Amino acid sequence: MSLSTKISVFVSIISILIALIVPSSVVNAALQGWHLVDSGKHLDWDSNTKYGTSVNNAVDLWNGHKPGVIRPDSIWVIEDVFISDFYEASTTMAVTCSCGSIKLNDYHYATMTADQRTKTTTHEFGHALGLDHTFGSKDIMQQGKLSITRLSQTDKDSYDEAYLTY
Amino acid sequence: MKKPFILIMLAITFIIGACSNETGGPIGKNQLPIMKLAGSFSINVENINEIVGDADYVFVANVNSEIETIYKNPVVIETKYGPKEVSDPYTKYSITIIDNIKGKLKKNTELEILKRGGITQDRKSIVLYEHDQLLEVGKLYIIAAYAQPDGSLLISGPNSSIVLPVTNNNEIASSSEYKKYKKAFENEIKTDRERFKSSYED
Repeated sequence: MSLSTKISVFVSIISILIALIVPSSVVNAALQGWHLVDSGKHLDWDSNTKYGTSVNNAVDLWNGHKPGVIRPDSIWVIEDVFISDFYEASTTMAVTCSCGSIKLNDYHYATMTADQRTKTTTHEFGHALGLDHTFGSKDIMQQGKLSITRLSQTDKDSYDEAYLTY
Repeated sequence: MKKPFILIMLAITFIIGACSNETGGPIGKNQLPIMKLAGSFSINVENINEIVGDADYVFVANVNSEIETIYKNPVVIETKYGPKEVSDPYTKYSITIIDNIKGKLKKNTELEILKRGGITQDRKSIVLYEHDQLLEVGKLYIIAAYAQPDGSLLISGPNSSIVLPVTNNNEIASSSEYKKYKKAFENEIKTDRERFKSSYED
């Protein structure tokens, strides 16, 4: 077998391996079919919530994976999402509307720990970015009143997939 | 001979045009686009035992009428056309409870209940949780409701109301949906949260 043949066989094997590995890391990604990111690939936010720390933590987590997408609103741009508080006794801890809002439920937030608030607000930003619910035990995008303060690989994969749709 | 024919054709065209929605007439709720709500929930809203355990009341009710849409939690958002006030629609219904599965609310009496979701203030779209629907008048539902601090009742979130596919009240107890919720009440997963009492308690 000539050297060039050996090289081409090696490259083929590596290509097959990459083809097998890459889809398996994307397989868990979940998109919901809509997002609030603007045509400039930015999510410009403003808020009057009293849970500002959880908002800052959420922005830091998502921007830590993909910097510069989520930005505070300025006079130069039209805001994409407004974050505020509401109150109702129900299962809903927080909710994102495709109309351009994130609302944090004071009924739950008032008694949640800082980490639970961070997880829940980060989850809502995930919806604003276009991510759907997932089911991994470490996923920010899973349901429940949980203390999770970092993105899982599935969360990151979903965000990468969502970014391709902006 | 041609003139009367043309006049008749013009008259028909005018009548058809006047009756058509294409000219901007009112369109039904079902034809409006949906604005979706995606949420974080404190329980697994796909698990019926958790739904029943977390709710204050679970019951079978007939929807008598849709009363009005109430708008709460207004915020001003920026749009490319300038600032716009946006509120959350809650649809108010008149219902009659036929059977209590969890809790004891007044039966055979008309009472009011709010459901999160409904037509927007500009009447251009419907706001709804994903996998949720507004109640239909004349149908029977199993409802998981939450008492609010003011004693009112709220339906909110995915799977908080399911339609019962029965045509009369005698078929309720034998329906698989009813049996499922009765069993879920026996196996309910209770949650520790601040609870309130409905003003409609028996």
